[in-house]
Amino acid sequence: MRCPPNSDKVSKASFKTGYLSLRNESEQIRDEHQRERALDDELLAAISKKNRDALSKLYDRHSSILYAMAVRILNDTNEAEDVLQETVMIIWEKAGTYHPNNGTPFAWIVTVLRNKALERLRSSQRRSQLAKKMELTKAEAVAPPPLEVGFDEQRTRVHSALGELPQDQREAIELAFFDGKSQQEISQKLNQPLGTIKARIRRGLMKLRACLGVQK
Amino acid sequence: MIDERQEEQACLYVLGILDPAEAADFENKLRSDSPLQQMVAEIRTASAAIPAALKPLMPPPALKQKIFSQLSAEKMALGVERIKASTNFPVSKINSANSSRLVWAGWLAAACLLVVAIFTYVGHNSLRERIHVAEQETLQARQSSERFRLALESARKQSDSSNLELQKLSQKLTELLRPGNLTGQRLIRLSAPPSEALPVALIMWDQQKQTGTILLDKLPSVLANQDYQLWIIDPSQKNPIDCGTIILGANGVTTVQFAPKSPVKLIGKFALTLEKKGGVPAPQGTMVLLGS
Repeated sequence: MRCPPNSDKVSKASFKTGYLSLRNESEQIRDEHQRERALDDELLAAISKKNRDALSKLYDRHSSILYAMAVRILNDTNEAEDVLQETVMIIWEKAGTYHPNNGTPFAWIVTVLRNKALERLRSSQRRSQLAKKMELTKAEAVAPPPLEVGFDEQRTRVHSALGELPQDQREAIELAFFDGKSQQEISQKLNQPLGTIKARIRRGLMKLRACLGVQK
Repeated sequence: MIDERQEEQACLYVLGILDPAEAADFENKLRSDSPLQQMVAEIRTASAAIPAALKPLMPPPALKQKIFSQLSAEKMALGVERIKASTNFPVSKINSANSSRLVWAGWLAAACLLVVAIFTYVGHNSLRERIHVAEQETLQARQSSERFRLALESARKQSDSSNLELQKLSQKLTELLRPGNLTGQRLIRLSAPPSEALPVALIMWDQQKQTGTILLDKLPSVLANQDYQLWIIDPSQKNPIDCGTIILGANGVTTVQFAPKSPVKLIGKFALTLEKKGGVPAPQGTMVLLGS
């Protein structure tokens, strides 16, 4: 192999140093994920044995994010409280059915809450369509919590990972995740072909997966 | 190997927006395909992080009390049901003609109780001993749980301080990788197929000087009669351009400077293949890494 002249702007040594610190960073992020996951795993195992203290700790760890998510989906604090309560009751009753192959415990909890909230959203949308037909007035909605720069490490990282997504990918993912829109509804709302919407969602989620270091 | 279509289906499936017919097919495939299961779990974990970017909102404190009192109420209701079930004796079905039989049955029950009482008395001492051992074990478990909690606490403190350090490093790297700081140079990452995600290769390529530096990590060592060989795939040229063989260092990360054997007009992709010792004029062996 021929060697090029040794006048590169970024030297071989600094290239290596940069890489090593990047590798170190990704390893530490992975370690942190594993610690968080291990704690949630322990709590879920204890909850499956009907340990109320464990449920209380899990509630304290995640309720503020879960509640914010429910308010974001439902636009209504009372409904969000109901959904959070239903979710906690499901965790209490079904913690034993959680399987690590389906993602982290937090991912399982988020899925439970999201399903409950979207179920309620769809049923309230049906009710509101009915009310519209009967010319009833609509209840005043609460403004959804904005996506803001966070204070803790996890939120900062997620926020920066989401921030790195192009606007079009982020928009498509948020419409599906928070608003429960179907592929066709997203395509109509964003005025883009269905194939483009699918590709945006795929690229966005794959990038998020890489940025958050959840790959094994 | 998971292709883009499967990735797309996995993403839509996790978000719950895959068409029902497609979702059924996908679930069938998912049952027997463990790399696909792994990918779905990872996408689910990544998507669950989306709400973490929302501004946290504390639920009203009364909600927690409400949830826990609901749990207590359910527990009590369950207890009452059990008591009812255990005392539910069908008295109404007892016939007065059978009353003499009942008297005998009563004596029989009393005799049985006496036998049970004798056995209970005999077993009492051993039971008390077992309770004592169980109490000791509980105490030990409590102590080790406390030790574990303290260790976890100190690990968390260490993690907090290293996170700060990491943020600084990350900022420095972002600065370094800004386009203005790397005039005429490109940083390309080569990655392995998802099932073999361990090997890492990074290439810093300078189009003006037609030279580059490759950094390799976690690449398996080769047999004595083999070498890794680097290629540039230039879309304007018919064949991949040879960039020479690469000899891995004894351990850890290897960095090698290289220059292609003919001029490169346009960078399509970089590829690393496993070839026979000394290299070959055109790639023949297994593709190890590919990236653009």
